[in-house]
Amino acid sequence: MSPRLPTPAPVQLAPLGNRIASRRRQVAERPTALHVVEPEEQTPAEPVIAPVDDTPPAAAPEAASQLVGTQPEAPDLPTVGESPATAQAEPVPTPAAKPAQVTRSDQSDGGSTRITFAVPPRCIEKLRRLARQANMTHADVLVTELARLSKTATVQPEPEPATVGEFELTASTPREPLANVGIRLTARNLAAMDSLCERLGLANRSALVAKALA
Amino acid sequence: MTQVVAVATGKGGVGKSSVTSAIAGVYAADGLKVAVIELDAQGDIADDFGVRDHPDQDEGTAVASSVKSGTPLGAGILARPNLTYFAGGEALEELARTPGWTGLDSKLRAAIDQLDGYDIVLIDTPPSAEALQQVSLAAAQYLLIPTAVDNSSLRALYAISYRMVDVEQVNPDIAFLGVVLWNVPTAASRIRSEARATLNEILGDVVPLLDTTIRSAFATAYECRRRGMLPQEMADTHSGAQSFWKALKAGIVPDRTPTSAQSLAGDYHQLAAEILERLKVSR
Repeated sequence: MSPRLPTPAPVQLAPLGNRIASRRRQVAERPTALHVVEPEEQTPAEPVIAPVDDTPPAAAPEAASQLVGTQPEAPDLPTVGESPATAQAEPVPTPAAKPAQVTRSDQSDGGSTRITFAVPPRCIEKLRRLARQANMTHADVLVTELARLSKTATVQPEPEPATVGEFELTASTPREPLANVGIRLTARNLAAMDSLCERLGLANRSALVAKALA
Repeated sequence: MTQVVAVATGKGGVGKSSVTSAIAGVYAADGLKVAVIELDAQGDIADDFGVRDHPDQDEGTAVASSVKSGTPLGAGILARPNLTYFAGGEALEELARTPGWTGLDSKLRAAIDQLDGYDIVLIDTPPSAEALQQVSLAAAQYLLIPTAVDNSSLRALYAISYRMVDVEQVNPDIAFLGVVLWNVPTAASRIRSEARATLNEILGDVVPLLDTTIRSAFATAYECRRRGMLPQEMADTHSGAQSFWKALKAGIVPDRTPTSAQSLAGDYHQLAAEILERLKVSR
């Protein structure tokens, strides 16, 4: 006769109040990430809403080193933009994108690259507010602010009709979701950002974005 | 002032649509002006109200448009006197499956604000579409959670509570209206009392457990949805019906109205009254 397995005790469910309190803490600590999808080869004709990841609340310390973007220098950025690698590891098809336009984390697939800028929450708020006020995409608001910053840094040549300084605008309506700001920048705009970073002596693009939206 | 109540939980088949349609019917019959907005792509409430083939049935098109862009909900379907139904349906599928869309910037609230003269707006919420749950909660003042007694259903309370915390940043005033036990067999008194004790333990003083329990009445629920009748209407049919054997003797094919209709209708009436009382207290 085989021995009987012990009868399991009834499953105990945790108090809801504890779970809610824990969730509130998670939400409060959740970083606000500004994702940028960087085209590698070609410039998309139309800006596309980048996929938005439900960024997990806490980033593992080792995950930070895997970010494509880096941390800004501003001292008041304890959590913002510390998007862990898990948020980038799962490529999600862009809703409005063509089938070939998918994001990836750190490997080139001939498509695009996701970069996470780390910026203070107030910068995200400003980005959203300006987009609402001007009825522009978050991407266009960002490049407009970058162009403004660029002009204050050095004297720029007369802008071409379709450009704002050295940045080009490509859309006119705020189509990006508001919970997380996912935007797509052209290769030209990203190159201009790098140039501006160098000119302003900033460590990285995140610092530049934070400065532009400060 | 219009009271907006989201009826939601994280699990399907625990009475969201049934509770929504039944209490809407009670309120409308009592003279309150009620709107039911269905965010579920399955659109079950159309069956509950018997309006599946109504000419204005748009399978969720107007509701989806309101959710996406805040456009007015339109006229809806006058499902009963005082009761307007804004249908769910396949048009909501796309929203339910859109990856990355959080729904936190709910436009539905703006659409509800444009509704004129309603006392109560009930939003029936799908169980698994997180973004539509957020839309619903972002638009509501209160959350009513129906649940069955099993652990799986009880665990679903966590999921919907998380959604509620998530929307607090855009809708800080949302509050728990309560949890209602649904589909509990009347004979299973031990299970009922154990379930209430367990629920009280889980909910603590964070969420009230409503006094009313909705009994399990499969035949009535089945017939209601099949005939497009609300429990109270089914009960009224039953009370006017001849006795089964008398009808047979008289050579009439008897109407097989379930005998549990009156009891179930009584439960929903009690629940509607309890909810109304809580809304008044909260107000």
